[in-house]
Amino acid sequence: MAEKHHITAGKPLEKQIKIDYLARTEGEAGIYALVSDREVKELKFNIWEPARFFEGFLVGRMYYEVHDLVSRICGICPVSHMTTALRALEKATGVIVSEQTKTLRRILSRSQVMASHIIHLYMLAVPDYMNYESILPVVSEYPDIFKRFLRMKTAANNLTAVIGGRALHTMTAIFGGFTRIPPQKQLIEAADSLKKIKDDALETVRFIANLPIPEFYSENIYVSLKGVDAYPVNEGLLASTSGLAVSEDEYRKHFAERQLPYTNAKYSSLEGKDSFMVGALARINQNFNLLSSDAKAISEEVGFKVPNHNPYLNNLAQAIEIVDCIDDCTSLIDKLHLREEKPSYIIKAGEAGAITEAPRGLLYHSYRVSKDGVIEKADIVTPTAHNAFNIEKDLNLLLPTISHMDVDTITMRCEELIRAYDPCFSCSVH
Amino acid sequence: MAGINTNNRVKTAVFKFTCCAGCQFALLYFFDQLPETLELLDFVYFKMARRKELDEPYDLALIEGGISTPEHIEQLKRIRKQAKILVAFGACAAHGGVPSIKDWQRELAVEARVYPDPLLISSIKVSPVDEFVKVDHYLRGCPIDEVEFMELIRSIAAGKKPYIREHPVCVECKLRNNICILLMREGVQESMCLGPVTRAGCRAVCTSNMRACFGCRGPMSNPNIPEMVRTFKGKGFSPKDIEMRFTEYSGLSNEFSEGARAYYGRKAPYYRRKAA
Ligand code: SF4
Ligand code: SF4
Ligand code: SF4
Repeated sequence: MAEKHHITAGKPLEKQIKIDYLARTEGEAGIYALVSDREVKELKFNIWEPARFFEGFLVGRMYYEVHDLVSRICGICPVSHMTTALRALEKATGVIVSEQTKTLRRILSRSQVMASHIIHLYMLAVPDYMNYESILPVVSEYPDIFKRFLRMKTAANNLTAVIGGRALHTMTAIFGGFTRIPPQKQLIEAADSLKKIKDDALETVRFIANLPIPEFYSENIYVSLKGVDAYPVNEGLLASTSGLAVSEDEYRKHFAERQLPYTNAKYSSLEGKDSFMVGALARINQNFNLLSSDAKAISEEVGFKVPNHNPYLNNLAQAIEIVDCIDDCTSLIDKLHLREEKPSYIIKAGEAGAITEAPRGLLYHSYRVSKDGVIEKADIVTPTAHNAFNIEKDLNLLLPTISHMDVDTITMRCEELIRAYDPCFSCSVH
Repeated sequence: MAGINTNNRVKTAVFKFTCCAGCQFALLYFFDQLPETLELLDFVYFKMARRKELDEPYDLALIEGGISTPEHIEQLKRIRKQAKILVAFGACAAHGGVPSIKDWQRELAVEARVYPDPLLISSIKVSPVDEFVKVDHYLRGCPIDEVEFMELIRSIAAGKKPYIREHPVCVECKLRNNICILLMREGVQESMCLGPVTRAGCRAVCTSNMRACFGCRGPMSNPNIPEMVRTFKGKGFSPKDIEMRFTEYSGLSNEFSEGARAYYGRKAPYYRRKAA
């Protein structure tokens, strides 16, 4: 889809980079760039995914259905939207959930992070580096890699299903808790299958570290939750590498969104001006010391050090996180003594926001609820909406360094960069 | 795999319109569970999975998502011309799905809550695919069900009519020996089960997890909507609760929109469906 460069009399050589529909990402987006010798003349990162207006139509709906509806923002990270909405709504209405509910939600969230990372790495990102246009040829040419991928994915999906009722669009998590507590036996079995893929996960880190990932330095501001004594998932301090360290309630004081004419996703900025990066790399850059000892050890083995400023290495950060997810989930399940409990609460008016770490990074949901439980206001900012401005910034930085290459290579580099962010355009235009 | 000529793979194209991409994502989930079924498909166009677009004709078009921009209508009509078999793939394509909740409110009011300048956004009411083109098969659900998917694909490959259920979810729920949560639990929102009027095919996955059916597969054939509304009313649910339940996933179907209106007393949603 790359177009040939064109030469205009008297002007330096200009190259046009045009991708109408970026493949192997979730949702719809493209790029248009005009580069001349070491200069970006024009750049548009256009997320043309159709708008769905969730924040608009949620107004007037009931508090008890919001988490189900928002989970349909995304087919890859439905659990994150669900958990974030539940936590925001429970906070808004003063409902306190049990420690067991919090732990089950943490395991559920991490099982989804694992599944999402595994699929992103093997199906969406890796074919680029192996010079394939999709995973399909990998199936027959590298059956061992494909089988490893399936083993890992099955174990992660299975854990989601044991707690959530099914692997995709779970239904057991509701306002105040769960409709059904998973049988302890099934949960222990799920943990056992996780232990069995531990070696696969370590192998995945080595595999990703050995791919020909481009060298590229881009010093970003990284934003993520910062954990106190555990790697952040559903709670933590809202922190940035530029010095921000506040509670999630302060989110709107520091982060703003604006609408641009050429894209349907609103651009987020920090303190009204800076772009920033969220996601696995941002999380690891800020929480390296909270990773499991095996995750730290494998990082050292492959030479991954923080702070790391190569956005392409977000992929490696994801692989390291898979190891941490396995360790975290198995040790949580080992300690768990489940008991039956049913949600019970009284609904009242209020307004609050919550932030969690979705697979692709910082996810914000905020709601105002009336005394009858009707939603009066909804505000959602997704990881890819957070990243969109920074992706554009990185493309601006990358293009001049590769403008001497042929158009196909430039196009490929841009695609790889965007895919390394693991964008979800469906989420970004929710 | 008796009866299926596996050499004769079905050339398939997957298209995404307005939705969460969960249904095409489900295909990637089925990879390890239904490899023999997926083997029957030859994907010539599948943006989420492959970079290359093969310039080849296709027989089967899987349409995911509702129709919500003028460009969508054009593209959909082009796909219809090309495809021998067109499948509405998931609740969004079959009934508009979650995004179609917007159709129950004033369009511009909804859009202005999200964008400072809604006029920069190209968007119309959300519609199911069959509003504009003929649909050959419906694979319902949010998301689709793998067993039903397998039935559909194997039938298409074998050139026979797939068996898609028309009875209510209750039948599958009973087959799984579930205790009926609609009867058992009083007044809790979690017992507001739409199973009696919703089309089966999901193996009653929600009710088996102690969760009321929220009707993601749309109406069964010939549902008794007024009786469902009376039952909910008798159990103490408010008009608002009842309207919400009928409009979550398949509210644009004639039957469920009737359910939503029956109690709420609103004349009609702002969106009007063609008479069936
Ligand atoms: S039917 Fe549900 S799972 Fe499928 S695309 Fe629509 S919202 Fe996503
Ligand atoms: S729980 Fe729902 S689906 Fe099951 S029998 Fe009762 S009403 Fe029907
Ligand atoms: S039980 Fe109802 S809501 Fe759940 S999958 Fe089946 S039809 Fe959909």
